[in-house]
Parts: sequence; structure tokens; C-alpha cells
Amino acid sequence: MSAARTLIKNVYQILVCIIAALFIGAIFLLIQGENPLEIYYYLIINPLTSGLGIIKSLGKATPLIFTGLAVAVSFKCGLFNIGVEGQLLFGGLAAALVGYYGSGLPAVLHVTISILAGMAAGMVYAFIPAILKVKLMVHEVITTIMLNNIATALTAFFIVNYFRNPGQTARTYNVAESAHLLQFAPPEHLNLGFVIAIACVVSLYILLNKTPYGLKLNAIGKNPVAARYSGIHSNQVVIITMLISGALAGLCGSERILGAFGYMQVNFSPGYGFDGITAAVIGKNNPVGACVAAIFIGILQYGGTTINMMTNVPAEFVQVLIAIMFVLVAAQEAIFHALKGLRRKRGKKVSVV
Amino acid sequence: MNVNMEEHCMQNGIEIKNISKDFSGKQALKNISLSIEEGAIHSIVGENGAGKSTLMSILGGVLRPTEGEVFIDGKKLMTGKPQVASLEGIGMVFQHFMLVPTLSVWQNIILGSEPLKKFLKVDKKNAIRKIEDVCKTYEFHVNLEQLVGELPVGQQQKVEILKVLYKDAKYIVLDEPTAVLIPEETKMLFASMRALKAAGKTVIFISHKLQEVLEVSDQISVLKNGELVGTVNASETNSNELVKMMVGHEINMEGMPLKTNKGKELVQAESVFVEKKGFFCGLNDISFCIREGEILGIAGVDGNGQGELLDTLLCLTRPKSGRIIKEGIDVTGCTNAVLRKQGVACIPPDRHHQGVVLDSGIKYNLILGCEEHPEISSGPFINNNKLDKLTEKMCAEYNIKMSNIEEPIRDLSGGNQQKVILARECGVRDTNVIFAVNPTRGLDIGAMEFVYKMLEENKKQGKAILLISTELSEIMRLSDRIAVLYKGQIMDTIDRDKATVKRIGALMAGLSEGV
Amino acid sequence: MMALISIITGILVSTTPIALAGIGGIFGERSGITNIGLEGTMLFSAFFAALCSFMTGSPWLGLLTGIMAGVLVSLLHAFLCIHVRINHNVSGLAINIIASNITVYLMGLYFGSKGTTPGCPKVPGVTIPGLSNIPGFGAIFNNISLITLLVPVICILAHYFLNKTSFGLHVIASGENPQAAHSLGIQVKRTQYIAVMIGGFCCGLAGAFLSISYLGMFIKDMTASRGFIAIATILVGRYKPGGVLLSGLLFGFAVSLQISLQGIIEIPTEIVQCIPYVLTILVVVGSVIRDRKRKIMITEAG
Repeated sequence: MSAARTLIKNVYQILVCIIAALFIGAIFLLIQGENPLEIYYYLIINPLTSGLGIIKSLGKATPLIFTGLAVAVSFKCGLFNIGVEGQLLFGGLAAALVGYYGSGLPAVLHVTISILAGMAAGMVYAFIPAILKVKLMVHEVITTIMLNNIATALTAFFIVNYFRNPGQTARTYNVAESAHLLQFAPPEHLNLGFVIAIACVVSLYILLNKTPYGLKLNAIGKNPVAARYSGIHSNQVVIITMLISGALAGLCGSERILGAFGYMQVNFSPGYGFDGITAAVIGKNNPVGACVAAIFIGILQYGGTTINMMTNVPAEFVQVLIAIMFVLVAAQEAIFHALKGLRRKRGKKVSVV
Repeated sequence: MNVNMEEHCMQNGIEIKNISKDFSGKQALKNISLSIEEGAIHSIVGENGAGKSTLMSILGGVLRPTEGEVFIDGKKLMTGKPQVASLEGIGMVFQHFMLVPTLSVWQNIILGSEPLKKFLKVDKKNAIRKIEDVCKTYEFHVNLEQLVGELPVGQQQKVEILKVLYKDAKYIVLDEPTAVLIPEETKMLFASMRALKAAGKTVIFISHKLQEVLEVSDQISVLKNGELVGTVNASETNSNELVKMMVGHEINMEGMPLKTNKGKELVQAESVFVEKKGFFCGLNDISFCIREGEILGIAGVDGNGQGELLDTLLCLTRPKSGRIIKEGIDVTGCTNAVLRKQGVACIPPDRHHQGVVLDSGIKYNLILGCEEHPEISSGPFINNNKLDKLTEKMCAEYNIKMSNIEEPIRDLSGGNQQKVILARECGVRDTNVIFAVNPTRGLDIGAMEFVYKMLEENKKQGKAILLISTELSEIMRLSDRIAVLYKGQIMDTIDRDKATVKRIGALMAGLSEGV
Repeated sequence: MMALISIITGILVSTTPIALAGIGGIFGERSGITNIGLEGTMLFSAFFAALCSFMTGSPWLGLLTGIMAGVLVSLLHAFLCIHVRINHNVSGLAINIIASNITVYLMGLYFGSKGTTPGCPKVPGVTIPGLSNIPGFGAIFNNISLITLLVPVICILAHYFLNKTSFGLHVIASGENPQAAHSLGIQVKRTQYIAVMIGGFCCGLAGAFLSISYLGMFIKDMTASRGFIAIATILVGRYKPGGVLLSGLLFGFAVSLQISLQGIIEIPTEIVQCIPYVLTILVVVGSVIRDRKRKIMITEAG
């Protein structure tokens, strides 16, 4: 089957899974006594009907595009980088600090080095599980989760004890004006970071599909043993991939601090890392797919803030809905394979074992 | 009337009637009917892919047939249930051992049929007593408490046979048992088979090694492409006839032309030591050289260090001491990636795990490890058009049958997959050294001949080729010089014209010259 | 003396959920189903135990509900891994993500709160007569949780079932060589389901312990990665109940340091919070290095 046909088939199947998730969510809503159509209108349609809604949705989506890409690129290489949450925290802290302490620098330079500081911090923090995996063969699932918890505690420690803004309880000084990312429609959170995110999507797509590095990454993700035996320098590719993943996570933190908030608050992340995992899985670890999924999640999340005001449905319903989509899309291949088997059984008389 | 007569005639023994097996459109077995006499040693032969293992899996209850029936001692067998087949007296000894390494010998033997006391507790005493009885009857000597993972291969096979005897099997199926044995152990296995026959058991022996089959069997059934060609008495046939039945024509078993003059040494191994780890025996003071334009064959039964040798030569593991030298440069410490760039090709033993990425397309497998090849790049990027052109060129040159180049390589036959590997390693890569390990494992005769032709062509081009193979006939046919690997040591290196099976067999058993 | 008593009590309290989840988790892991969703399973159990205890007023019903929740969630994980054939890590991850979100969602629905539930009836503590009368140390056995007392019992039961019964042999075979197990007539899938649900049962106990024995309420994400630490104990304990219990004690000690160290040594709370997680990484790295040196390998025949 040609590549184009496979793509269309996959997109179709993913859409089916998402609609199935909406059905299941509707059952939850019906039990609560709510009207699913009304709720879904507020969640999906309403945000798209106004310019403000679109801006807010994209604003919510931007951090998820970064984390979605970060997770997607690592999953594609067979690496379970669940540490994006921790990497983005350190990225945000680095950006906040450089953004404050570097005041006086010309704006373009200041913004650039603040962003780069965030990326670098994310890369450094991602290097830890990477080197443990490559040199000591420790699986990254446990290390990255532990590092998440450590990051939450350590960034809080640094902010509260060393970099606290005296007027506030748990946040850093405001970053200088010169470090702010260009805002598109203040006071909404859509900023230049969105453009950077899209640029990352395009770059990552080219990197994964058109460069030798990308093909090697793919091979390692699908069959690490064959990759080793064929002369691919797996260790090198693995480390580079984790660094890219960490850099993207750090970018998420930078965008939030320099674009959306202007300072770093302890625990500012409502789970960008985990939503990124969802976006990557729904997007089938494809950079464009992860981006589309991230935007979809952004729309849902913005819609979620409105349903809380209009109805009795708590905003957390959106997270539950997204989690159900996650499970169904993860099971997509298996579900459709089973459906195909059922269809074949009804056709033939003799069963095939 | 007829049916009753048939049932009377074949009261004991196994009767296979009209068995067919279809795997999603691929017909593995077509309408097979054959009878196995009770108390005989009945062999089933055929090329790789002829359907031998599939047929036996149906007999053993692991697979269910699409059509057809099996009768054991006149009683119809319920297919698809391993427990039922076992209860009816069928004992399967598979080619790939069905053992659990972290459990002990006695635990493996009783697994699935554990004698129980209250609360699911295993009755160890009774179990061990019964196993010891069986061991005594057939004179098997195994340490029952030892963990199976620590046993050598020959002993593991004994455990497998004990498993079926413990369950009072009447019909014992041995699937390619000699693949892992040295000639001496094979003789001992044959003695065990005759002892089983003397005790009234029936032995079904599956093999592709015709000399062995002729030596030990009473009857021989030949399968070809999923069909039964015929059943003959072993005493009334010979290997040429059998080959004709298996393949449909006679094949040329002549050796390849020998290289006479000595070329330059391209690869040298000097006193390489690799540590013993768990059950891998490591390498013990290995030294050899491979010259350009020659094939050095390394004979030996699986498990004597072949894996360690390949990994060390490929720089995937670092030896404890010793050096690997390629064209004068010491490459011991470098990485596999660097080594490959210096012109080393590898045809790995396990096609699916080490050779290709099954889910990727043919064209990506063709450049696996050579993604930076100048012929497909435009600057830092990969040019898809150039890649497609290269793929088409290679598929034509190597006669690779596929429907389109985007097709995942998983859908290709084993032979075609191996051709992709050959095309990559010998065609796309620029190399002067080839390491080939069991390159024809699992291939039908047509594909095997193609591989041999390729190796000979590359030899003519002046490449240095190392052929590691567990098939002695292959080594004898292709190599210019033959070295024997036994427990991690090179026992001796002989020129092919001076090598005989007897001599090589002795070396494979660890017996040095003159003993 | 008082300080020592409270330290030991603290260790027992911290160890209980970790060791329970770890010992139960052994079965699923050894049967071949990796379960990183122990965290989410525990969280589900904690929530439903608290909810039931609150609604019915009976902590015993709450305990039962918590256990059932654990079993049902692990059944889902087993189904996703065995029949739907999702990557085990992805399934576990999904359960964690769903658990975290659904518990907050349901908490918002029933209690109108976003962070914590109101207090609920707790499983009463038990005072062991005799033991509690020992001068000095006896105080530990005053008001000790029933669930904590179950830990050594579960450890012994696990050891028995894994090593002495046919079920245990089937679990080990299913994990190491499912093809072989199937060819011997062992029902691999059924064995795996039961093994994973044993883990769910123990996670149910662990989660219920957190909400209706220890705290007396449910707090958002109250499991705080204990489920992952439990996975580490399985690795470090070499997949054996006794080893897992011992490493569970080690980690329990690390977790309890947070409370015990306060007032004794001046270390910022955040740094102390890091200790169990850093310890987990160090210990996992150490055990991977140790295990690499002794590996039993089996050659493939043919």
C-alpha cells in the first residue's frame, strides 16, 4: 500500500477513535444529567466561532506543541521520555533567571539568549537519563519519572530560597521587558512562541524524514538490534534524540515564562508534560500529527474553561475526555485489526485459527 | 464397508487424513494423508518451508488444521489442544527448546502436568521419584535440581526428551534435533532413538540432513511445497532419489572452485580473549587471518562461540585482550559504525532481529546503516528519487521479487529478505570484507543457490570472506580453508582439499589432531 | 525513646503501601506483563475507598471498595495488554493519566472540591495485646493499622504461591517462555490475567491504606509516585517477595525521613522531599549494574 493511502487510512482510524471517545464521554455526561451536544458545542465548536476563542485556544495549545514534539521524537526512537515535565520546569527556571538578570541587553539579543538558556537547561536535565541509559543500560521509564519529582522539588527550592520575588510568596522576579516574547493579542497568551512552535514542527518533520539522522532514529525505534548490527551508532543517536527532546521541553518552559507569564511561579505547569504525551500518542508520534493533536487539545481545554461557567460540568471533564481519546488511539491498530477479523469471520464459513 | 476395513487395518499408529493448513491465504499444507506405523522410526524430510514443522505442530496440538483429521491408534484426535495431544500419547520435542531457564530441570519436566497436593502445592517428592524412574529406564543422567539455563545444549535436549517420557508419550516427535549436536552427540541421540524403539515407542524424526535420515529411519516421507510427494522405505532408497523428490530435480553438490594462490591478509585476529558470561563460553586465544579473494569457513555446532566471534569482529563487544586488525590498522577499540565505514559487510545469522527492520519498507532496509551514502544524498538531505532509483536497480540486479518498493519488507519471503540484505551489504556498501553467518538458514534451495553464487562472485572480486556456519555441508562446499570452533577455541585450520567430514567432526568434538 | 518510636512508626506507615504494591506487582511482572500503572491503580483505590467510607459511614465497606477498584483497574490493564495488545508501558501510562484526572473530576462532582475530600471514617487502628505491653517498644503496636499487619502475611502468602504451587510455576513459565508454556497446555493468558489482578488486589489494599487508614481523606495525587517506587522495589528485590519487602522497608525509611528529620536537622523540606526519588534512581542503577554481572542465558537451539 502506498504511503499516501496508509496516511489516509491512519487519519480515518484516528478520527473514528476520537469520535468513539466523544461517545463514551457523552455517556458520562448523560449520567450526570447534562446534554452532551450542548457540552460538546462549548468544548469544540464555540472556541472556533470567535477570533478571541481561536487566539485563546492556540495560546493554550502552544506549550503542548512543544511538549508533544518532545515526546513524539523520543517515542519514535523507542525512548520513553516521560521526564518532559521536569525538563520544562528547569527550562522555565533558566529562562526566568536569564530574563531577569540579563536586563540592559538589547531586546533581540536578550530574548534569544533567554530562550537558548531554557533550551540548554532542558537539554542538560534530559542528558541525565540519556547517559544512564547509554552507559549503564538503565531503562528510562523510572529514571525520568523520579527526575520529574526531583525537578518539582528542586525548582521550588531554588525559587523559594534564592530567587524569590519579595513581593510574592512563590515566584521569581519579573523578567525584563527586553526578554519578553512578542505578544500577539495581549492580555491573551498567544505570542511569538506559537510561531517558533510551528517552525519546530516543520524542522522536526524535515529532520525525521529527510535526513540520515532521521532514518537512523526510525530504525532504532523499530528494531534497535538490527540498527546496531547494521553499523548505526545507536548510542550517539539516542543521546542526540534525548537532547533534542529536552531542548523542546525547555523551549516549552521558555515560552511560558517569556511569553505567557513574565515570571516563573512554583508549580506553574498544570501538566504540560503529560498533555504532551497525550498529544504525541494521538498524533502517532508524527510531528505534524502531534501538532494537530496539541491544537485540538488546546481547543478542548479552552472550551473547558467556559463550560465550568455555563454548566455544572467541572473543567476536569475535559481531561478525562482527552485521557479516553489517548487510550483509544493507543489501541487503534489493535481495535481495527480485531474489527477486520470479525468482518472476515462473518464472511467465511470455515474459521481460520 | 471400506471405512471399517481401513479402521481395522490401521488400528495402531498415527493416521493423518487430508490435512490442509491455510495461513491467511498462504497454503502451508495441501491435503496431506500419510500413515505412521507403530514402533517404527519414521522420518519426515523436505526443504525449509516445505511444511514439516507445520504438520508436526498440528500433530502436537499447537496448531489447528484448516481441514482434515488425525487418528491416534484408531481414535480421532481433537486438534488445537496441546494437552489433549499429550494425553493421547504424543510427545513433542521442538527444534527451539520449550524450556524455562530460571526453573530447575525437575520443574521444567513436570511443567503443565504438576502432581498436586492440597492448596495447589506441588508434590515434589512424587515428581522426582517418577522422573528418576524414567531416567533409570533410558539411562539418562541429568542433575534434576540444576537450573535449565545453566545446562549445555545437549543436556537441555535430554531434558526435553525426559519431559515427553515423563508424560508416558507413545509417539515421540523430534523436530530437527541434530541441528545443535556435534557428530558424536548425534550418534548418541540415534542410540537413544533405537532404545526408544526397542521399548515399543514410535519415533518421528524430522530433518533436512539426508545422510542421517537414511542412517536411522525405517520409513521416510518427503514433503515438497506443502504436499506429500511419497513415503519410501529407507532401505530401498538413497540420497539422490530423496533430493529428486524434495526438489523435483537433481542438484549439483559440487564444491566451489578452490583458490590456489595466497592473497594479501585483510583481516587478522590476534590472541583474542572474550570472557565467559553465563552460558556463553567466550573466546579463548583466537587467532586467524582472512585473505583477499578467499573464503575462510568456521565450522562448529551452535553455542561454541560463534556469536561472541561475530560480535567481537564487528566491534560490538570489546575483547578482554587481543587485537583485531584490518588492513594493518588496529580496530579493536573502535565502534561498529566506524568499522563498517572502513569497508566491512555483515550478513547476520538472525535475519529478522539483526538483519532487517521488518516494519520498514524495502528501500529503507536497503540503506540501513548506509544512510549517508553519496548515491542517495543531496547535501545533508536524502533524495527520495535517487533512493527509489537505487532500490529499483538493486531489485533488478539481485532478482528481488516484490509488488512495490514501498512494501514493508515483512511481506517478502525469507529468501527475498535475505537478498535485500545481500544487496545492501555487497551491492550498496563499498566493502572488501564480508562476515557471513548462517547465510542460508531457513531458505529454500533456490535461494540458497543464489546466496552461494553471490558469495562466489564476491570472492572472485577479491573480497575477504568469513563464513561461519553450523551446516557442515555448506562449509565443505564453499570454503578454501576450514577452521573449527569448539568451546571458544580454534581447534585447527585445514585447507579444504585436505579436509574430511571425519576429521572435521573429530575437531568439532574437541579432539585435537593425533588423538 | 519517643523519637525512636515515632521514627519506627513512620517507617512502618511509609513502607506499607510501597511494599504491598511491590509484592503484589511481582506476579504481574513475572508473568510477562509490565505494569507501570501501579500508581494510577493505587490512586483509584484510594479515592473509591474514601468515597465509599464517606458515603456509607463504614470504613470496612470502604476497604472492600478500594480493593475492588484495584482489581478492576488492573483487569483493565491486563485486558489492554493481553487482548488489545497495546504496548505495556503505554497502557500503564494511560491508567496513570486517567486515574489522576478522573479522581479529581469525580471529587469535584461529589464533593464540589478541587483538592481534598472532607474527612471520612478511618479503618480503626488495632492494639495488639501482649506485644503492646512490652516496655519501651510496645508503643509501636499501639493503634497500628490492620493493613500494616497484613504486610508480612501477604509477603509469606506471595512466597508460598510463587514458589511452592503449580500456579507459581505457570506464572514464571508464562513470563519467561510463553510459547513453551502454551505448548505444555498452560493457559498463558488466564495466568497473566490472574497475576495482574493479584497486583491490583494489593494495590487496592495500598491505596485504601493511604486514604482510609493513614490520612482519613483523599487528596489529589496523594500517591506521590509511591507506585513507581514500588516498581523500583520489585527490581531491587529481584522479583522475590522477601527481597521486595526488604527494599520496601528501605524506601519506606527514605519516604518517612521527611517527617522524622523535621526538627532534628535543619534541611529544607524540598531537599528532603527529593530523597526517596534520588534514592530510587541510585538503587535502580545499582541493581541494574549488579544484575548485568550475573545473567543466566539460554542458547537458542537451531
